[in-house]
Amino acid sequence: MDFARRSLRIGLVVALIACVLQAISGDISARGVAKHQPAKLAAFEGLYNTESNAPLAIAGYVNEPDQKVVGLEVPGLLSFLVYHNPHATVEGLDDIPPQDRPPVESCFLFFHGMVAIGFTLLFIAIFGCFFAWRNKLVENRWLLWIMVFSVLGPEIANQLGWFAAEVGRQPWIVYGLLRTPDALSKVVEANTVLTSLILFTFIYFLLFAVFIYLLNHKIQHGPHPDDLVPHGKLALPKNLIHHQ
Amino acid sequence: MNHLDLNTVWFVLVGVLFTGYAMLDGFDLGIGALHLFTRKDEERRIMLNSIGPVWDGNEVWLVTGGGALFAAFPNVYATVFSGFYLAFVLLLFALIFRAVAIEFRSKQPMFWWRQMWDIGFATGSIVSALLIGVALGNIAEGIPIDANGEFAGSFLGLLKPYPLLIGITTVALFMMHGAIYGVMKTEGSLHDKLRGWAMNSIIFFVICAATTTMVTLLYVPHMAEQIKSHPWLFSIALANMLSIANIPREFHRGNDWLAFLSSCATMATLMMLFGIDQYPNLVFSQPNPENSLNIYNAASSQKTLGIMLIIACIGVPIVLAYTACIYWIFRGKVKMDRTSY
Repeated sequence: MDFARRSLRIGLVVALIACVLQAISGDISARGVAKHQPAKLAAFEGLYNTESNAPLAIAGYVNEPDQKVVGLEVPGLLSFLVYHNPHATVEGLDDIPPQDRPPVESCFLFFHGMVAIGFTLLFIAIFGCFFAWRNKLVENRWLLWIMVFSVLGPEIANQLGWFAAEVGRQPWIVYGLLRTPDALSKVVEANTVLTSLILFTFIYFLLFAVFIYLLNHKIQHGPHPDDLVPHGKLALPKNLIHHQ
Repeated sequence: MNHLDLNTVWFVLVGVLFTGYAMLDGFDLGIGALHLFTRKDEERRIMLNSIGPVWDGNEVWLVTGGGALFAAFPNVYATVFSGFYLAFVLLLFALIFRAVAIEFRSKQPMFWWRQMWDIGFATGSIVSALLIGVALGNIAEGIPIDANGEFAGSFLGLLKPYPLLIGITTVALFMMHGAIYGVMKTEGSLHDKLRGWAMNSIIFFVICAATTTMVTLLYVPHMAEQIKSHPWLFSIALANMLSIANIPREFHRGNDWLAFLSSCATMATLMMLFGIDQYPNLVFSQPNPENSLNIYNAASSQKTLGIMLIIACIGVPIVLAYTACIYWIFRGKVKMDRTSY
């Protein structure tokens, strides 16, 4: 129990630092997208019209027929995040020829799903660090249970982010240079690709099941007793440990 | 071979990378192929741990070889990877299953669990070696290519007798290579067993190599034309035969390390013979030789090849240095502890 408590403390501090760094890295990447693939950023944010004071959607969905975002928006925040100026002009989808636009609705949902998970993880880490600091972590079992399932958060965010990046680049496979239909192998048939896709999916589910099984087994058993005694070149001599 | 240009340099470099792959991953695929020959759990674990620290580093050579092919000769990469799509997907699955089996096998004590991963490891290793050989055999014999440089055959069309023979020869070569490596890394009763397997696999390989040579000369005569027109190249064929003969010679004397080096030399000379007879083609087109992909019509621009050469000059020494480090750190017989596979 003492081992678990200490491990969790280290884990929470690392998670907090990593979540903050992740947000910074995300900001830098998004500005890169704005610069190099404006159509992708416009699709992420459902920004149909080029505008100054471009808003950032916190939560919502895209009404594609009416070309607008329904939900909670902060005016000027997108302009601020991209150009560090709330009045800056952000390129919308109206600047992109219709045949070069990615599917907006799915990009918006993938991207916002990823960001939402990222911030949820950040809040979990903040709460966790706060309760750990107050030594009240063990009493808040609801938070511990959330942490158990938060392991899936980064995995899902990763996948959603990947979907957003790939779908957001459509119809290009190399942005502005090569269209996806032009990049297909001429001799590989669709059913062959489907076969490999099914096999890959099967393998991934199989490996995921084995992974969860082994991980659970390892957690249930805890660390090997020998690992709880420091050893190796960097460890303090045994007599010193006993004095501490 | 008239002059040394960038295209030729990259032809040689791609060959060197694949030869390095054969020498290194060859023995761990071979260990995998021999894995089920012992039924003792302890011995299987020792075999796994003999390749434990190095097998994934060895596979990097396949990745760099494929990467070099992609960057230096993109048309070859496109034709071969599209044309051999199903075969390469199968190769990928075989490599995935054997890798995962190494990691997961000893994590649970149940018999069925370990047996399942053991079978995965052995099957994955044998199928990987076989498919690599079949791919090589197809390239040697020639594959149908249309005027646009696209593969014009089918998956089942790749499983012809000659490529299958090369595939079996590759399995035999890797088994021999792996058994000699295993002899160097083990002691006691497993060591004695591996000695026996090494002897049998040397015989297996010599039979395969002799058959392949005869079949090649009889049915794939274009693979001997360069040597016919440049008789001095026959010295490489001679070197190949001598290195094969040297394997059992050194092995009987107990010079396992020299036997292993002879096995490496066998692979190097085989790849040289293969490369010499392919040159300047990379993918020989059969039945329409004029559609062959060679080092000029399939290459990237001279600028790309030049930049890549600089990168290779920096990267290859680094890879060689860390590879040497790993083998030095894990030298000697396998010692098992709690953190072993």
